[in-house]
Amino acid sequence: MNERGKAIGKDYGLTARMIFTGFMLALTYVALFGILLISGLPFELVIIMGIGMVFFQYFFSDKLVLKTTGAKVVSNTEEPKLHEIMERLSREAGIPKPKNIAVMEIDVPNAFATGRSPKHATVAVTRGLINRLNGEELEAVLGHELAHVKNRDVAVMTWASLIVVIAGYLMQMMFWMSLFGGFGGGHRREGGGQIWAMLMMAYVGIIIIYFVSQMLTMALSRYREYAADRDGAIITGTPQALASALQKISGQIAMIPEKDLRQVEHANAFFIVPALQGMSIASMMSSHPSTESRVERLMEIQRNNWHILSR
Amino acid sequence: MSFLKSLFSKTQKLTATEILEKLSSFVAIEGNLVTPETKAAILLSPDDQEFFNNFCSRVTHMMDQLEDPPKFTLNADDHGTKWIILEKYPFQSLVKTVDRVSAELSIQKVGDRMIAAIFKGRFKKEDTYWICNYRTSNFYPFVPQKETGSNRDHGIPEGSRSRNHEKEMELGKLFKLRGLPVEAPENWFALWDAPF
Repeated sequence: MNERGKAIGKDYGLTARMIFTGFMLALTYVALFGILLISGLPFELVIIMGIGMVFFQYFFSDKLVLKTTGAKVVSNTEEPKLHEIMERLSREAGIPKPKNIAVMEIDVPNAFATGRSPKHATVAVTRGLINRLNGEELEAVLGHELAHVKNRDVAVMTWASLIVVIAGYLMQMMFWMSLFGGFGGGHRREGGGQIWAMLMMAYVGIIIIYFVSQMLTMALSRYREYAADRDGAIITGTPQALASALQKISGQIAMIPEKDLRQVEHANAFFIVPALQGMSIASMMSSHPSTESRVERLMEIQRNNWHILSR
Repeated sequence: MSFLKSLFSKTQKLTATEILEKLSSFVAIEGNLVTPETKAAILLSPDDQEFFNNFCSRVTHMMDQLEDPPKFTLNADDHGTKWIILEKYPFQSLVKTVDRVSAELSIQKVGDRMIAAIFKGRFKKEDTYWICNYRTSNFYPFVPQKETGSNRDHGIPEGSRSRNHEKEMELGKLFKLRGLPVEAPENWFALWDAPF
């Protein structure tokens, strides 16, 4: 942690929530293995496949993501500004400069970081992001991505999702088993009924574990986003610039109308106000927290630490 | 019961008293970021009622009836709407005055002609308006951008008007953080050439 980070201190609430989510994820592992042992399912192959898949993701995620998104690695001569910012921010964060800096030639403003460690990291931004954001905002977004790299979020989330992968495979396996009589339905008269009931319970248990672990993984992902927002703000020293960039990226600013209030009053079309409130299912299953809550937290950091950040 | 209280209590949102307390406490808490002005306005959309035909005399008479009447001026704009601009210090008293005058307007049977209450203040050294939409009982910010050389640098033609959306978003978040009910951004309509 840099000097500014030390002065601002940790967000203990966020750390506690991450630990709690990790603990709950560990419990789902215990529950899953309990079900597998009791049901006597041949799960070894599935677990090996799951681990193999996650290993593959862990080692090749950077190349995979670059291929699938069409992001092109850019040199210092091609994008000197991006390289200069990354060089400076990496120094500030105390990590090596990411191995690759890439640009996606699309107008949608966005950015991502991938790679299992700071040494193997790739940070990519879209052309739309470069065009829309001012220098300070672009730096804030790159600081956020660099915080993901520093916190090894790709590795953390890849391994955290292992249980979702395994439970997903098991669900599929049991689905096919149920279709082709693997649940012992054909032998129900010779005591197969008991086996069938047990396997059905195991099936239901695995489905529950799949959804619970998915929700926990998504919650963890949202907490990692908050942490990256916070750490990115500490690296750059400008939480409000990240807040402003998030608003531009999420398109909230684009929603502000051009019309004058008095014109609207005459048109009498002003009375419809969104009424949905509270936590929706969609928000629980989202990997990113809402822009609104991220901006609120960033503003809080700005307000509480303006004397440190302005140094 | 004050006018705003009766208006807002129907919506099962915050009561007027709560909203006003929050607006006052917002200004008190964010004192290092926001500096309110001593003026605020009530914007009205006139119809053919007698009240609007004799607007000046009716409002003057109405104000005379008030205990500790505030300083006020009247204005009309190109949109055909009318402004009652109130002056009071400190800000808490100004907010209460807006509430009292709104209540009086309601008694005069023009409550449904009120569009918004508009407060003004500086936020991070910039002139900003804090608009309370009477139809929805929500607040939103409006930050008209001054014409500067940098506007031209950003491709905004000379003479045209623009808003500082970044500052508006920032102020909107601040409103929300301090518990003020905030309008959805798609309803943050402009209010150009406010006469105060």
